[in-house]
Amino acid sequence: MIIPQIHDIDKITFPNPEEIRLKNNIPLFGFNGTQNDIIRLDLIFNSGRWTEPARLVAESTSKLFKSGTAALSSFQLNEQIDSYGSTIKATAGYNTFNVSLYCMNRFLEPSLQLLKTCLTEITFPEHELELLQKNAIAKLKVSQEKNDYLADVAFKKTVFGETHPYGYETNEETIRNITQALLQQFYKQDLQPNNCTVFIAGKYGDTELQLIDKYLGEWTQEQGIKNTENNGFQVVKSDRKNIRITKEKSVQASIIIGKEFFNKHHEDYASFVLLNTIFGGYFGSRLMSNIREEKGLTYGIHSGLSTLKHSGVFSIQTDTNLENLDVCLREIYLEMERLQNELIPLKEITLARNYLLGKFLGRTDGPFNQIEVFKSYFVENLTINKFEDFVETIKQTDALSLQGLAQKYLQKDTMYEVVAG
Amino acid sequence: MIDYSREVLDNGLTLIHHHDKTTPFVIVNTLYKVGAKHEDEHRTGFAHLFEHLMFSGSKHFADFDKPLQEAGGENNAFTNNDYTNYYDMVPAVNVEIPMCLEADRMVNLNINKKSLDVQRKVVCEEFKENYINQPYGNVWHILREMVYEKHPYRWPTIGKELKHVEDATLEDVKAFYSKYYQPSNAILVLAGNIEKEQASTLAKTYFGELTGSAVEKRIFEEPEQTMAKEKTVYEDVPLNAVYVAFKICDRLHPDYYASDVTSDILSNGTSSRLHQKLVKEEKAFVEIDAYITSSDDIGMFVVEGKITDGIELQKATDLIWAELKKMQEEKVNESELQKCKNKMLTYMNFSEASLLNRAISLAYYELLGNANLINEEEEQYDAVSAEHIQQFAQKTFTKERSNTLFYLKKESK
Repeated sequence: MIIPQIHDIDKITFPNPEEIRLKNNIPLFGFNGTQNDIIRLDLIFNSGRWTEPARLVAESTSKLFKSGTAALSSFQLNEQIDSYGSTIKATAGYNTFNVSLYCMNRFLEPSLQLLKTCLTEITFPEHELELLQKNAIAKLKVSQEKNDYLADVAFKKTVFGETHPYGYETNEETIRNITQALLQQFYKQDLQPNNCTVFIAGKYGDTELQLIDKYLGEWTQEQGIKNTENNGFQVVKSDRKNIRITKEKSVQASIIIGKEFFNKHHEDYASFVLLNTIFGGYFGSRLMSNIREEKGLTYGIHSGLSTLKHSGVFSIQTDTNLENLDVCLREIYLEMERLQNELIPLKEITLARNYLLGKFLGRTDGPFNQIEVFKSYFVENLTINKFEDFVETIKQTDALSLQGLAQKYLQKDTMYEVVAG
Repeated sequence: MIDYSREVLDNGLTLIHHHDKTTPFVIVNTLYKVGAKHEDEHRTGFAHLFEHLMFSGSKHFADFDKPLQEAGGENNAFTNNDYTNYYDMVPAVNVEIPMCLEADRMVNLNINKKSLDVQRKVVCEEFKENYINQPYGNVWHILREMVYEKHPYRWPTIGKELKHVEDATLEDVKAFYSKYYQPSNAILVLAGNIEKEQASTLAKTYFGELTGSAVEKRIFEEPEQTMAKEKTVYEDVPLNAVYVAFKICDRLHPDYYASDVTSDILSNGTSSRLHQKLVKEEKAFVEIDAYITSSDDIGMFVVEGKITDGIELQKATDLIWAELKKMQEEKVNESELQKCKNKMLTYMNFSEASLLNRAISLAYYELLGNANLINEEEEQYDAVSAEHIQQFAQKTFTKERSNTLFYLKKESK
């Protein structure tokens, strides 16, 4: 038996979204065409940790997003949302505040009505905040028992500094310092129509779009509010390159090695994605082949580039037995050096490239994948045309330029190393 | 409505085809009817260890992953107590790549000392990462052993203890392979952008010639529980936790849907009973959850919660029981029931949007004996009545059928 011929993936095209404006000028982007009658609606506000008046205010606002209005208790509001089988969920990012609605089409109208209530009428009752704080502190204690959590917190603090929105740590004090007034101020300031973009995916027609316009298009802007974006944050990197957190009775240690990096705007972005794939970005990567499949030192090891609006992070993460810690670290750095000193064989590049093109093809598959990708470009101020440019760049990146990238970006002495366990 | 067709090849392999021309992909999903419940009590963790070994290469293909990745594909696998499932997702033009790889490893796997040595270590690291080095990580080891008396659900998929995995020999592994990895013990699903005729032809081309032996279907027994069980453990955890578990019916029993809806009434969503009453009003729990384990045989209904500091264990447990009693004494009203059904329906609709979910579900329902459950379940959930829920609660939530595990912080000892 021989392997059948492998065919190259044809051109990968990203469909253009439908683009309209609601009555109040909110932009709406849509990807249509699921088989089932379902709708996912996302509202993205230019907001998040970047604009919050004090630490954890954005996140706490998201957690109390359905905490009650003057007329409805938290229970009543949630019961109404649940009664349609719908989900309304808010999350706070570094540079965004996100609100999502998942529902069946036949319940779109009452769900939108409730969504509007959540956007405009929440009072953030004092007793709801108190309970949130109390339980958040308890849950924090559970997280702090986990090595990977400890490593992640220390790593971000090391790379961006304790005062930066990308770097600050959640602790009991920051949780206690949240007040009702701060939440109300943030809610009123940031959740405004002129700060909002709407995304829709699922199966929709004119009826659904009209309903959205009825509830979100007639949402009026509060007067006298200007959305300001604070760009005055300073990244303060740690002087120490090696951070060791000791946790008694651990049998394993969590490792994070990495540094601040560029985002999708950088000219090396797409080629670096290919380099990262080869290094530690998929199951066939060098880190995985060497450290898991060859030596059995870990259950999993991955490297990755996560891009942020104003920055990015490159990191390698794994967990290993404490007695294997040194050999694991040594092998990670050795793999970095190999990429700098030796040209990657063509066969290995083709393999990683094809795998990656398959992943890019997956991102174009169906409205829910499409909306995810589109939003991720949108929040970094990129148009979706970039997607196809990246695909082209990945196709053309050769061994020599990959070696150049490794020499430029994968030097050991530029990396921070955090070990918890 | 999900269209599919079903065919059984001469060697006993079941093929299910599902056409979706809107996607550029095809999924090749292979389910083997072997899970942790088929293991020997003294050699647990085998089904899962074996899943790792399935990526060691086979007679005609030295490497499983590489050709698939070169074809723009991706793959993964999971093992549970009932079965082991492997899936490959490739651009439709390359569907033959996973077909030949899967067929070859079904009967010609290259089991060798080197890969066994490495994967044993990898699985031991997985064991430590998820079950030892995590707060509450060993709870399922304790709970399963407590709830089940005979049934091999007594141990979790990862294995009862590290030693079982460490001691696995090449002979053990080879015997496991030849016993369970047989065409007649597998379900192959081809889903996505592939026509029915092509799916059938390809399945016959690659799998049709494979020969194998029949696999005996085992029946597992588990006695009724007649006395309450209680256990307390002290660990390095920051919050006290309590688990109350009951044995319930198997997956195909008419009570199954009622049990699932009951767990939703108790804990699905912010407005659910346990969350509203115990977390928000009584402030006795930091978080609380109720769920069923959805296993093929005798399942488990579990209520688990992390207790707020300062709340007595007795009070926390009484509060849980009060809610369970309420399910027995009062019928849920229609609007609360409808709420749960709507949530279930929404969840099912969103889940179906994913081709991979559809492929895995078809394989799983076929394992249960009726692939068409994928289309019937919506109705099954809709048919659950308030009476049925009450009856289910009455027969399930009794003291003598209960298993209570207190998982406490060391300082409270």
